[in-house]
Amino acid sequence: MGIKMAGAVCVLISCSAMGFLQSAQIRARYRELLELKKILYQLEGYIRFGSCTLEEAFESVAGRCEAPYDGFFSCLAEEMGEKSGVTLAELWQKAMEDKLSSSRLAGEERELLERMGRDLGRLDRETQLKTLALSGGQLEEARQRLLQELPGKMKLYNCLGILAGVFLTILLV
Amino acid sequence: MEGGEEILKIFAGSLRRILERAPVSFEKLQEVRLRVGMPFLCRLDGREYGFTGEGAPKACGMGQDPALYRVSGREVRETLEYAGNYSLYAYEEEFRQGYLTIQGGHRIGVMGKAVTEKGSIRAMRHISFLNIRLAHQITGCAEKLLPWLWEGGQLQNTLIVSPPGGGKTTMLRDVIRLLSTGTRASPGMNISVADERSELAACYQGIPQNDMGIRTDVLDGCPKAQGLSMLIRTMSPAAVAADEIGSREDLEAVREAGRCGCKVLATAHGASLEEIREKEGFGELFGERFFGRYLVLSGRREPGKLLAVHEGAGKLLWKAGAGHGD
Repeated sequence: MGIKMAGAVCVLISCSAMGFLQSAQIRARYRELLELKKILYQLEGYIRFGSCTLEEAFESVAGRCEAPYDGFFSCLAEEMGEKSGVTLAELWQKAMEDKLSSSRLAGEERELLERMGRDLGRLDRETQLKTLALSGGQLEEARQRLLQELPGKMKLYNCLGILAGVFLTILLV
Repeated sequence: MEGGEEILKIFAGSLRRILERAPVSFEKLQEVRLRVGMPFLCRLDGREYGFTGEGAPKACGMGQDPALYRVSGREVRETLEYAGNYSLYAYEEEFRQGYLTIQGGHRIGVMGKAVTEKGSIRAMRHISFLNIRLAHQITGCAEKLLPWLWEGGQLQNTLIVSPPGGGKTTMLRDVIRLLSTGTRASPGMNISVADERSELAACYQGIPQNDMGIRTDVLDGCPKAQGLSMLIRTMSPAAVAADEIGSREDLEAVREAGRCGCKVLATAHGASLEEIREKEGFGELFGERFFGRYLVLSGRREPGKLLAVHEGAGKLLWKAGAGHGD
């Protein structure tokens, strides 16, 4: 009986932990979206007021942002500095695969980021800034959507975890 | 290619491989031209060559040689992307003027379709022609010119004149270096340089990549007219220098610098003193005897070769081949 009880407690704890973990992932995704939006504002500032090249802007942003974007932008700046004969779109794609594989961004948010990599570095400043503004706007929409869903989803995952634990415990005991 | 690893990095992969395999020396490479659908050409030691796909240079004459490698639109676009550090928007102003100066002071002329607005160029699109002019610092090349710059122990306002590709920027850079550091004949002096196109000092993040001498201050990327007056006010130079003066604003700024007691070292496009005198604005400066020396250099066939030296009133002091004073 004692072993059964211990097993039941373990199942309950692990299922609840899985639920909390899932809820933490959503919260982390929200924080990443917020961080990305902040980065876009910074990039816009470097381009609009500092007349920086993307390499300089990425290097500065890398030193001021949080993971996983710090690694992503410092990797990009480094690769750009090496001028290895690869286009920016290709460098961006590769850096996303290498450095943002553990990111919590959802599919459409990743696509948005990929598109941005294809549009950066164009001829005129205005187009460049509009591209960043457009991406910023789309990210903001995604953030707002997630913000609305966040409390409900977090609650849902937490409850689901606990309930799954209870259900499994009843089933097994 | 021997040397010039940095410049190779601005070329699209396929062109880079051709240049890497080509048995040419970077030091002798003066110019590389990319035109969409046309042969990949370069000027090497005063002569024009094309390249085969394997990187073998072939002298270019009349007509079209089918063995020569032709440049594609994609290669031009890629080259532009690498040359502009993946940030072409950062060079928007330069594009409007049709050029781009890259690290090392090399200048890339860009041409395509000009987008105009109210009569002035707003942007350049569909860029299909690139002319990459390689800057080489030739230390000591101006030593022969130096004695001509002085008269009665006074440095003269000097204008170096040559057609495009004649070596006047290289010569002015070395004049600045020699005057700034000092020579046996003259002590060093503070020189301020308005380097609008980053060709003289080739500044990278504000630090000159070329040797400009120990007493030289450089204002990089600023329009010459504005830059010269700012330098005079802030750096108290004994002499100011600017490359390729020509506009009315430039000439007025140069005149103003002279009035402030600074000596002026400058360059201008032209093949002779007569050509310079006929140019708008220069004629007035000539009439005022603003410049005390005009040094006329040869064209691109013999870059840097001094052809003639005139004093302020136009009197010929020395001429190449005249048999004295060389």
